[in-house]
Amino acid sequence: MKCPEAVEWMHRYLDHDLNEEETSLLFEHMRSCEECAETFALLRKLSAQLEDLPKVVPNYSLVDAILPQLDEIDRARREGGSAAEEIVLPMTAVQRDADAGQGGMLPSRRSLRRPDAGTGMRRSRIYRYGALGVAAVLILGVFIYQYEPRTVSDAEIAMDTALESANKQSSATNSADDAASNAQLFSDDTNTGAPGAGDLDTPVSKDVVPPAEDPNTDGTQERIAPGDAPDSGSPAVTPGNSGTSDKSPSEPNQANHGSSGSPSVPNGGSNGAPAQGPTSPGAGNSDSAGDPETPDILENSIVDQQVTFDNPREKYGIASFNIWTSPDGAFEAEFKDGHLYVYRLEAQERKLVADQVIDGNWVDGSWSESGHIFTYETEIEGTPVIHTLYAEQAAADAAKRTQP
Amino acid sequence: MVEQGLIRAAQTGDRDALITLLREIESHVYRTAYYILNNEQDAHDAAQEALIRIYTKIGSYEEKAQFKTWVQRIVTNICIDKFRRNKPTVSIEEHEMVFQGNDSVEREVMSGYLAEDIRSAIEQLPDHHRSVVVLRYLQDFSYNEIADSLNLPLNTVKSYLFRARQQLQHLLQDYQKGGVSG
Repeated sequence: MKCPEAVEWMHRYLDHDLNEEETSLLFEHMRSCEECAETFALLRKLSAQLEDLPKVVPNYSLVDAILPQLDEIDRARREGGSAAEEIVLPMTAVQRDADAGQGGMLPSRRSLRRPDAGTGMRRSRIYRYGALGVAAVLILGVFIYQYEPRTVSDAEIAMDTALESANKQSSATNSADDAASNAQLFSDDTNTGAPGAGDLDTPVSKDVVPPAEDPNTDGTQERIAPGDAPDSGSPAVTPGNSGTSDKSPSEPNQANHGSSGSPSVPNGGSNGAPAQGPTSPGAGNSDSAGDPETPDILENSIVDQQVTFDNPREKYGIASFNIWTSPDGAFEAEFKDGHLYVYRLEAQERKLVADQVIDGNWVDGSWSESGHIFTYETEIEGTPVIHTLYAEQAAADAAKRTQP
Repeated sequence: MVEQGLIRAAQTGDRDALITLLREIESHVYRTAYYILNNEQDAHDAAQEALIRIYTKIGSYEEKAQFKTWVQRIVTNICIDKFRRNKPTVSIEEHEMVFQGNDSVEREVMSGYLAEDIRSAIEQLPDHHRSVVVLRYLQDFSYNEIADSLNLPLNTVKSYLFRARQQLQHLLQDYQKGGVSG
């Protein structure tokens, strides 16, 4: 027997794991091996001391101490709704049978409780899956919602390019209409702006053409920075204009179409200018529609606009729609709060010459060429009524009144 | 040794039998807890927790295992979990107290180790080594019973126990030298 093996046997001896034969072999070895004998003496001493460790007992009854808790567990089990029992339930199948035998009440209790617990669990599971499903649908919905607009806008662009060539011819006429409507839209401004410019004939065309022309030069030919667009004073056209300059980098072909027309909104502008050309007295403007020198005209138009805006009453964009200045700048008509006021414009102030109550809905009004007659249209119960106001006469009447 | 009949009665829902059963095993449960945790209060808490668990899970006990090994498995698991939480503070304090209280060690050495030293040496052992020693010496368990209780292979139990004894010897010799010199 070798020493390491002997040590292992010593341990086994101490643990009562050696049979008689092994025990005698071990002791035989130790008689001849002093070292092993010493090791064994120490081990036996340790083992004896370990066995002599005091058999401690709790200094109070642990079971008595936990009896309230045990009662609580029993009550929870009886009530059946406790989470504690739900945890215990799967592991105590034997005990459930045991419960049946414990008392007469128990089987009925169990038969009552089990279906409830079963349906309750099933119901809660259904709710849980339902909630998960709802959550999934919501998340999916968010993705779809966020994804869709991009698809639509892409489709728009695709559609635009597809229609682009097909609409080349037809868009020319359409855009001519657009330009005409633009001209109508700005005609009021034109009228008011004209006296400021001091020229009765050319400013009309100048003011009409540049807003229509600007998109043309910006979008298709010169590609002036979008920042210039607001200066042109045509907010209705500007969004389409800047949209063109946004689109064009992604579609290089668009630049090739050049003055012949690019799709949708800018189209109206680009073709609008030549269409406007023949009708407007200012021939130079219409000629320069396709001209590289258009920036100059643009600047002119800006100057004109600025001149127009020098009139203090023209600063208030929307309000100016209800104010009409006569072409000669002598009178001003204003529709306000159901009244039509006509003023005579003098050096720094305006003098009220007429105040007419307007029945029905206000439709529109305009000055005559001479600037002495203001014609306006109202609508009473669906029927348009044309009224005429003689400003000179009213002014003379007013002058008489103030000088009795 | 708990009667098999009492266990069966407790398993069939006899609450009195179950309470009686708990009273019979409570000191065994407490002793293991005490020697694993080396702290009276922790031992009480752990033992109570073990008894409650035995009360609620008595139905899951199967007779193919010995009841006492089933009980000891529950208590050692609770203690090891609990001990791991408390170990850092408790063990250091206890260790220092042992060194300070070694005035009479020279006389005591001749007759053997102090019970207190042994307890604190046991506490120094790794969890499973400590559990093996406690079950072997405080519960008089055989290798097989320890293996069943701790869910360890038999050879592992043997090697843990042998190594635990050697470690205890080293630790106790260190304590003695420390006591003599100090």
